[in-house]
Amino acid sequence: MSYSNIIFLKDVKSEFRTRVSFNTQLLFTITTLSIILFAVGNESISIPTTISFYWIVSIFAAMSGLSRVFVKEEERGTFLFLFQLASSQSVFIGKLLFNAIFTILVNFFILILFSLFIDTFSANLFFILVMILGSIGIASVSTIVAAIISKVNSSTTLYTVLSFPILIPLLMTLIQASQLSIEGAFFSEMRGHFSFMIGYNISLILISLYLITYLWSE
Amino acid sequence: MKIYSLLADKISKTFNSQKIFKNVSFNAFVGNSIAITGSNGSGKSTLLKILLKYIHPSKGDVKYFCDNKEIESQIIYQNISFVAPYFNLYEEFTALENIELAIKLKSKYISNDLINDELNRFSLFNHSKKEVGHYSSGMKQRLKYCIANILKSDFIFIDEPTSNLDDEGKKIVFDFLKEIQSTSCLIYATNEKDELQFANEIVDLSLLNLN
Repeated sequence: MSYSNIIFLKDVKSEFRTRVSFNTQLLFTITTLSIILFAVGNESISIPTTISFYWIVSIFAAMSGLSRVFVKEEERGTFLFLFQLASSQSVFIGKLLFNAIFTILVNFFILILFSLFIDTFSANLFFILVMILGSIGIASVSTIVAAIISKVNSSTTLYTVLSFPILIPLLMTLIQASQLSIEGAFFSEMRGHFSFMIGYNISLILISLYLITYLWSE
Repeated sequence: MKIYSLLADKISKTFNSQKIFKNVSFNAFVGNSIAITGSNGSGKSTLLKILLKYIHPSKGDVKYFCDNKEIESQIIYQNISFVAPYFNLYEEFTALENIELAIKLKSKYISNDLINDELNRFSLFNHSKKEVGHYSSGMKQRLKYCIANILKSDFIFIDEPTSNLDDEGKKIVFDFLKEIQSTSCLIYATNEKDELQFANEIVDLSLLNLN
């Protein structure tokens, strides 16, 4: 078993026992969706508004929980234990894997809730693909920013401030691609968006793998 | 058999323009043990963390060697173990789960019998399936020693060896310190006089000239 898988399974087991991130994101999703439904009432919402709501819920759910995987190692004082057991890159890949799978699952949950409660929202295969690529992008940004801010005291504030500028290009593409997919666009119309998202994710992961070795020690 | 050694070369550390220590140099190798001592605030723990490559020195360098060939910094974790009261094990995991995690990540193949023997030695066998969060601070410290002894790393770093331990725990740790010297390079930071008996060499940070 690769070292990254061991780190991934450790985080899964830890999350299963403590359920901190899962409960936070679940509660955040339900709360924000309830607020949207109360505000909208019986009125029909346009597709662009629905898409905006979807990614607002998704991004803020991610922001509320994803930093935990790195920050909690520092907060709970376990970082020095991990430091003597594994390389920086194995830990990063393990935690990225955890965040990516976790974000995809949370996004599926949001997608189900939106499909049930919002009439104009009808997810198709392209939307699911956009959602998966977007989740990987959000998880990649969250993981490296969490690694950067994990050694700082006021980490939560810094986390949002640092993540947002890196996420802007991804968010713009996600919103455009989501709208196109729900409006029933063909693959040829969305090829550029998919290429951008794949390129964004690969570049970000490669840069992060390089950066993490410098962030590993103080 | 491979020969492991460590070179601390003129290490200096400054925090906010205040010199903590300056030009600390020594050689360590498997079979010898070094005690770092000094008054409170002299930088014992900081020096240990620099040797671990967890903190960068302001000046100087730490190099690890295997058969006189330098080991890359990124893979040095494979050869080190660290025991200190100020870091935690995973409290939501049992002692056995923490041990298994360490063994897997260090790619060691260790039988269950050996693990049980070590748990027995550190008086933890009856608590091995209990979550570490329910342990006392002394039990947590003994578990860290137990993991270090199971892994038998080439370099073992210990900060405040008998911190949080009762008399029985201290006796177990003293036996461990005597024993581990033959297979590992032991470097520990302490202020306790009776712990200095295990060192071949003493580095006293209080005696360093900071000017």
